[in-house]
Amino acid sequence: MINIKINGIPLSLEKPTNIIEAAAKVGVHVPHFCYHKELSIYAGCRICMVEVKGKPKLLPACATAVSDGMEIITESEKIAKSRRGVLELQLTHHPLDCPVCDKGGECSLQDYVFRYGADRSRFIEKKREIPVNYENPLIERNMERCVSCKRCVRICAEVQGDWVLSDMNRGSRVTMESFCGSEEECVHCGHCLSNCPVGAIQSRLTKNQVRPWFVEREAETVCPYCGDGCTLYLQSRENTILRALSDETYTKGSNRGSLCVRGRFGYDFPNNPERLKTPLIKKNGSFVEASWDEAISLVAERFGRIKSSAGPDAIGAVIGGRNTNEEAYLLQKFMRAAVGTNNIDNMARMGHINALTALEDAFGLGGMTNQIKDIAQSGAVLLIGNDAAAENPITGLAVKRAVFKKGAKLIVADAGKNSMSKHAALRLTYKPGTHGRLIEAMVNVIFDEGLQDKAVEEKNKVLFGRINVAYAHNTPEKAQETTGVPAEDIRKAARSFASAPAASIVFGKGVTASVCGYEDSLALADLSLITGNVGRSGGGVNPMAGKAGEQGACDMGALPDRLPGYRKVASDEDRKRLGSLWKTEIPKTAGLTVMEMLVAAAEGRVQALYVVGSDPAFELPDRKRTADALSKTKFLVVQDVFMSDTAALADVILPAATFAEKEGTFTNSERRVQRIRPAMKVLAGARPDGEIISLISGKMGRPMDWEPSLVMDKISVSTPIYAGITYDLLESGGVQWPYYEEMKSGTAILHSQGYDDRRAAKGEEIAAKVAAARSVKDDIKEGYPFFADIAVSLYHSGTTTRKSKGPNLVVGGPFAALNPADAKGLGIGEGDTVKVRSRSGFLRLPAKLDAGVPQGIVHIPNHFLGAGCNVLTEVILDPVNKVPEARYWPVSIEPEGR
Amino acid sequence: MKAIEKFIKTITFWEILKGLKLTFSTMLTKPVTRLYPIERPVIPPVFRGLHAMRRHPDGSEMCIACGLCAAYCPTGCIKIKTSEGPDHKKKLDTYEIELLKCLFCGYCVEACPVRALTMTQEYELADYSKEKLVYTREKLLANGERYRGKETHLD
Ligand code: SF4
Ligand code: SF4
Ligand code: SF4
Ligand code: SF4
Ligand code: SF4
Ligand code: FES
Repeated sequence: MINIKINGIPLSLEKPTNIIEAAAKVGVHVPHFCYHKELSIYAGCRICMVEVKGKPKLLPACATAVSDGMEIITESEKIAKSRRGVLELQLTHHPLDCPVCDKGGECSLQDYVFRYGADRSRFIEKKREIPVNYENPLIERNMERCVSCKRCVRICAEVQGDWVLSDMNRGSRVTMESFCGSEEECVHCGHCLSNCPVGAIQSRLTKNQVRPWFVEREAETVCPYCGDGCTLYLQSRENTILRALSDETYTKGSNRGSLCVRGRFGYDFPNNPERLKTPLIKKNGSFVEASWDEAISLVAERFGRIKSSAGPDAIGAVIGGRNTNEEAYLLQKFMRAAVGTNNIDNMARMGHINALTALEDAFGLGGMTNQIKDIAQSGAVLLIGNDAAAENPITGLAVKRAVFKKGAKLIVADAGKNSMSKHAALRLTYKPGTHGRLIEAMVNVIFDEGLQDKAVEEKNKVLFGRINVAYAHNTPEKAQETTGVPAEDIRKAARSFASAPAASIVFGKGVTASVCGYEDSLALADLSLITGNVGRSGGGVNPMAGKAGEQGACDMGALPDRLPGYRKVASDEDRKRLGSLWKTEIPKTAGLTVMEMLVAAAEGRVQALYVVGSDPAFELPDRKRTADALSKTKFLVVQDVFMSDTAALADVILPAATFAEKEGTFTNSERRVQRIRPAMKVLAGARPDGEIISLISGKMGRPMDWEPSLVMDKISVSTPIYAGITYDLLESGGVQWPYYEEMKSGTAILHSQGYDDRRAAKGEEIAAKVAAARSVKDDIKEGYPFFADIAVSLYHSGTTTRKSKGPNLVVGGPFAALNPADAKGLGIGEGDTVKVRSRSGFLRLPAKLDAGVPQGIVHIPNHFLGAGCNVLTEVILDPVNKVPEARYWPVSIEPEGR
Repeated sequence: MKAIEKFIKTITFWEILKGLKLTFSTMLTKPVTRLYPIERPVIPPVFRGLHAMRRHPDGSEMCIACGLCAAYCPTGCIKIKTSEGPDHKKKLDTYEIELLKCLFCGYCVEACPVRALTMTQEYELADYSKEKLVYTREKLLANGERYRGKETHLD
């Protein structure tokens, strides 16, 4: 115990801390510029000086640790004089153009000058004249206003890990500039701008537009893009989003104060004038505006007719990754209870579902085992098939933190470009589709060298034996042949993974969105299991969801074979239980996955499709086949916020509300259920998805409450893993399911009390599935020497980022990135047009040379209208979950000159 | 003594006479009321009447779009929209004062760092619709022109 007094207020502390933090605990603010709790101590600004009894001189509060018996005074005439001095020195150069500075009203310098009355400097010198730096499309740097605290430099290096900024020049001429004068390395995360205590670094998107007193409404909500589920603050005025801010306390949610470019700069799509504002009904081939009554009646009537003529199974529904848990729940309930079919699926079918089912089979619960911030505790991280820095940037930060702070060994295994490589101790570049062999070889090495966790082995002898046998065939030498990764590297990777005190696995679509996605996810589970990392802090198997609503849609049972909470349609008991809650009979046969629905639609077995918040025509493989199936669908209803490729084929378009306009919850990859809150009114003419679904359901004779908090109450009853979760509980922050009411806590780390290996119980069934997965052969490579890496860009997500200004200022169009050596071989230069051709189609794209792209790979971000990579792909399904192969596709590249 | 004095005052209606004294003496002085609107008052320059936005002698607007007037206004009746203009300069898009809410306290004028906003001697502000009482930048600038060269609140 450390007992101290701050301004006479007694305080007892468990752990030592510095004076600034200790003072904050008793509500005393010690002025500071250069101190930030996430950063190393620099102690360069000298505004934080305080008096400590018994010490003759003032001490810097940021760099002085409290010790027992300390008596600290934070405000006195002596201190004020010292601070005034510091401020006067700052003002020697500071322009004090507060009236036109965007930081005005929320600026530390302004506040302190006001507080200590040092509004002019006695030092007369010529003011610095430094032109404002506008090189970065999103961030401006005005170094005349800089107070040289170097927080931007440190946060870019220590938290973001990109080392873009550094301090140039000396003394009073010091400025913060990008290191070699180029902004190329900047990933536009905006950490520097959110961390600058003054107006030296500012967002260009809000430049000259926002004043803190303009804000009429602020909502604490969740980023709608990736599965990291970052806490975000939206500020609005007159129903227009002004800006998105990160959490200033650096404590909330999975991101704790950090954001990536999508979250920080991709907030303005709700106000895009292209939003759908009225229901549209297709009449004679063109869309006609309709009233809500008309549209809802038409949908209900057509659904009803199809149901009675062709049966309920002739109707199917798909929900995307942008919808809330409540909406996914309502949609699956609508399909099961009002329509009477299990034909409901969600876009996690594009990969994530493979990870969830594999983990469920391996451990008994399908979900990321650990939490994002826990990855920072790892001693080794295997990042495989996921460019965390682009796809799930906040997870990427946790990985980097493990590397920087814990000295973790990062093993980056990927077939394509992976921006995390620069932090990697070991980079394994395998041939697309062979990641499974790589993982197996690692398991093989671990058994071979006796590196498995002996204590865990003792308890699970049978299981370990089985795993050992299963992978025995795949020696590193064999794997070298298939994967192209040197056997020695595989050995090294296995050794560093197995020898770390805690090692975590982070993976994504590179593993899951393939025909062996299920099997390879299982192999990852095995790797974690034999090294004793399951249920361990800093360990675990962590699949990353690509979209904010993906995990939630699966949890809510928007799956053809699963009921809410992953209960099985096939189980009589589960169906009965839910049926009695819903007072209806749940259909017995499992429904169709989205890929199967399309086949059925093309064949006429499915006559109506209800597509909510997704764009299958763009996202699913084989554009022609998908579009064909959608146009053959007799009655296609699309509910979305913007016109999309799918919506264009629809019979009825229902305009929905965006995340910024509604209540709800998202569940992120780490099972954290978090509330989103409206920052603006629902756009006139649009409706929240939940309301639309309930309107249709009501018209079909099954009224449902759609008020999100009421829906959550129902979810907590019908979905066991969400039991006890209510809006009141979530008010103060998210909760990771499963939630235990007795202990009033969620579960940060799954399986710490052991796990339930379901494979042992139903070995045969699973073995058969795995065997089937292996048998899918790849015979489409002939004549197509490259692989297209159909990638997710850091700057985009899809339908919504396309309509956001910020991301488009950095990456505004499609491109094909090639390794310079490949490009040279083909005679391709930067900016040349290349034709990327596969067996089924081609794309014409501008070429980019990028040494980060491995040879033999062409990296194409798949976000841009008119350049959808599904013109290249065909449908090959994984036999377990019917997940289409959608990440790597064999192509050839033809230069077409400039 | 007291009783007699009281009696005499009662029978002579003393109190009434006392009151009428003021009436009759005022009858003989010049009236202080004005036949408004035929007769108009003289308004002092520091009067806090209708706001005006001023222009520089070269005709350019003085307002630098800082929004401080809006921040300071106790009723929140000033609404400003700004954006990035040419050369990254701050640009005023719209400026509105909703007079129906305005207290004419003059805080906005105090707040203005560049003396772009002032108050004038205009006080006849009644109108037939609420909308017309939202004074836009154009109207305020026009008022400023009317007062160009004249003494106002600020000087
Ligand atoms: S940085 Fe702060 S003190 Fe400097 S001009 Fe901007 S608001 Fe004023
Ligand atoms: S935006 Fe991020 S990456 Fe770019 S300079 Fe700032 S902190 Fe560094
Ligand atoms: S730009 Fe801002 S954060 Fe960076 S040193 Fe200057 S004042 Fe500090
Ligand atoms: S896109 Fe993902 S990582 Fe980026 S802010 Fe949103 S949730 Fe966070
Ligand atoms: S305070 Fe003055 S300069 Fe600033 S916005 Fe108001 S009128 Fe314009
Ligand atoms: S905050 Fe202590 S020296 Fe800067």
